[in-house]
Amino acid sequence: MAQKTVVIANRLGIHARPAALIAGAASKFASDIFLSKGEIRDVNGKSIMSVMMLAAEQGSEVTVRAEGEDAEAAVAAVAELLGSNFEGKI
Amino acid sequence: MTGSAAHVVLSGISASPGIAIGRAFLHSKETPPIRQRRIGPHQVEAEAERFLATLHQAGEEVRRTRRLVAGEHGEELAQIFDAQLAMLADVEMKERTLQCIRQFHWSAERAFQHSLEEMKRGFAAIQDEYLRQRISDLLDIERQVLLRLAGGEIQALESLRANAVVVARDLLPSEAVQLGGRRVKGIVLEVGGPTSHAAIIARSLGLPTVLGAANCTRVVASSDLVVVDGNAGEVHVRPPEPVLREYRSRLRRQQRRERDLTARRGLAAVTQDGKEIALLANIDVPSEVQLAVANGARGVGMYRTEYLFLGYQLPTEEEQRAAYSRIVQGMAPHPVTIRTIDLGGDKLGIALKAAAELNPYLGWRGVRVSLDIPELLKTQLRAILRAGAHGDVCALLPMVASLDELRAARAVLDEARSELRASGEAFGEHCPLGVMVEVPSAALMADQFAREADFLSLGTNDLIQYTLAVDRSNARVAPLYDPFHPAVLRLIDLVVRGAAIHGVPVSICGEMAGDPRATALLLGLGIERLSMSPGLIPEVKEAIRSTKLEAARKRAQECLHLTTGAEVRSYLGIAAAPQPAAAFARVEAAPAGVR
Repeated sequence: MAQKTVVIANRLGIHARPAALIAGAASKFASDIFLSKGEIRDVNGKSIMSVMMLAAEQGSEVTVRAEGEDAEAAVAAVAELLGSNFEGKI
Repeated sequence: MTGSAAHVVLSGISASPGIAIGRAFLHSKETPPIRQRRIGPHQVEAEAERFLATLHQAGEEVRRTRRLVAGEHGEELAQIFDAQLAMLADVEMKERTLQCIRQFHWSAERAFQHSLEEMKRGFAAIQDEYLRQRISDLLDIERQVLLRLAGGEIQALESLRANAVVVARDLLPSEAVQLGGRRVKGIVLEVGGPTSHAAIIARSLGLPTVLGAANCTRVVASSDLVVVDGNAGEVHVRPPEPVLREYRSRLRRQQRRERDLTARRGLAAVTQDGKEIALLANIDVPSEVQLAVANGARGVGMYRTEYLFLGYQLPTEEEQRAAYSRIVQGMAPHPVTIRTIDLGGDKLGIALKAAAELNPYLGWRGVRVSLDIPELLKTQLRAILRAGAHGDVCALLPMVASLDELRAARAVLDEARSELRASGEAFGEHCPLGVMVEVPSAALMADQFAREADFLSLGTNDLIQYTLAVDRSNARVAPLYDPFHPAVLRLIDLVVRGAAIHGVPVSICGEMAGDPRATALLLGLGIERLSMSPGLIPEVKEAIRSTKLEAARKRAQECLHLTTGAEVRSYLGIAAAPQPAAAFARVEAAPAGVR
């Protein structure tokens, strides 16, 4: 298991398009990937709707957790996206 | 002939003018009841497969619709469907549904609805208005998938027959945009106001439309003959021969008049005594620029940008710049006035009802939203400034109630300008900032606004609603909405005089500007710029060409001193709107159980 907590940097938070990018990136890994924010625990990081439902605004903390053979790489990739400002991508 | 073929007249609100005669196409949005709740253990895998196949079909159909819309209206509008596609492909939704089928032996319908229910609850709890709105997409895919699972015939809009009149409770913006093309003749909806998206799109497509037609989906049966009178806001269901004959002849007159106007559209918009009036276009989507130019518009008086914000995600600065630039280039050398987003009020009607504001018209909308999310406003203003590299642009702020709002927005505009200057990007320095006068407070303070704003634009639709305290989307009170009410005319007069003190241009961009019956009155009040739906320009130009300004001024002054809207209309020789009581009585007098 690997885990990392990041602060959302994107000004508009994790809106639909960032959510799609995150779910898309998460889907490339074999590990199960879970996201948590406040009281919302362990939603499926590969589901666009679940990521959108986090409603993570700028400055909020989101924890990424992964279980599986490529857990380390998965957490690193998803956490990097979550903490980015999505420049040039959205 | 059966006894059910009785003629019924439904009264509603005229949302887009013209006459349409066609066969009813009932567009049902009702979610079918779940018939089967459990399945046998041996059926589990077949049920799982049936579910996956249905999801696939639904996705294919959304993709087809998306292609259609992209081809006809452009990529920005087509992105409305991306949220639905993403939801249909969502792993979590799929897994939860399959789990319910396999573990509990639930039918695909029940399992799918159960898994969506949890997601709907999750979305409903979101504070963020924009994300919460996505629940309307969830509801839409729920209906599409459940209808298919139930084996029901989908009244998909693309299965429309020729000459159809679409009858529905409501239309999502994504559905309304599909109604373009020649197959649809008119639209009748139970809900919706004249400023709803369905109405705006219907007008931009030139489809006669009646909204607020109570009970229309129950009174009308599929394939019934229906006459839509978009001028009077009436719908005749199963009209008898004499009524039909009358409307056929009106339709022919309408078509003849359209041809005549087309032939005369090269003429100038000049009054009998030589005063030139600026005719401008109100547009929603880039494809309307062509008609605006063809009809002789001297610019875009109001480009509503909400379309860009209806989709799956907030548009980026670059996407906005591209959309605005297309319009600016298409309209050059004439100026384009771009209104910052006016989300809220009835335009957020697709948002979750439970989360809706008690009083959306008095709530968080227009410039209030933009100023609360400064990044949103700045991104939009930067995009407008950058589009200014291709021609003349102006920015227009909606729903301004006090001067602080104009000042705050001006500060954001200045910031955007200096950022662009520093970045070295191409943009137009000159961008006048104007205010929509649609809240009575702004009209009353027009002289003060004119001191600081670069131009004023009268948004009469909302101004009338706020002044007379009438919600036009409420069919019971809609007839009280009266553009000719002396209170409205006095406010217009006040705004014109306030603007004149500081030499600031003032235009009208509400529907009143496109009503040829009001043209002489508005010119008489001193209005010199009229902005309207591009299709209305020829009619209004005719009205201008027959106006004698001196006489119009005297008559306008008289009107300011009359006591009621009815008096003004009678003085101007304008036919009275149908009385609501009579219209409702006719519906109720229809034989009980016509359907």
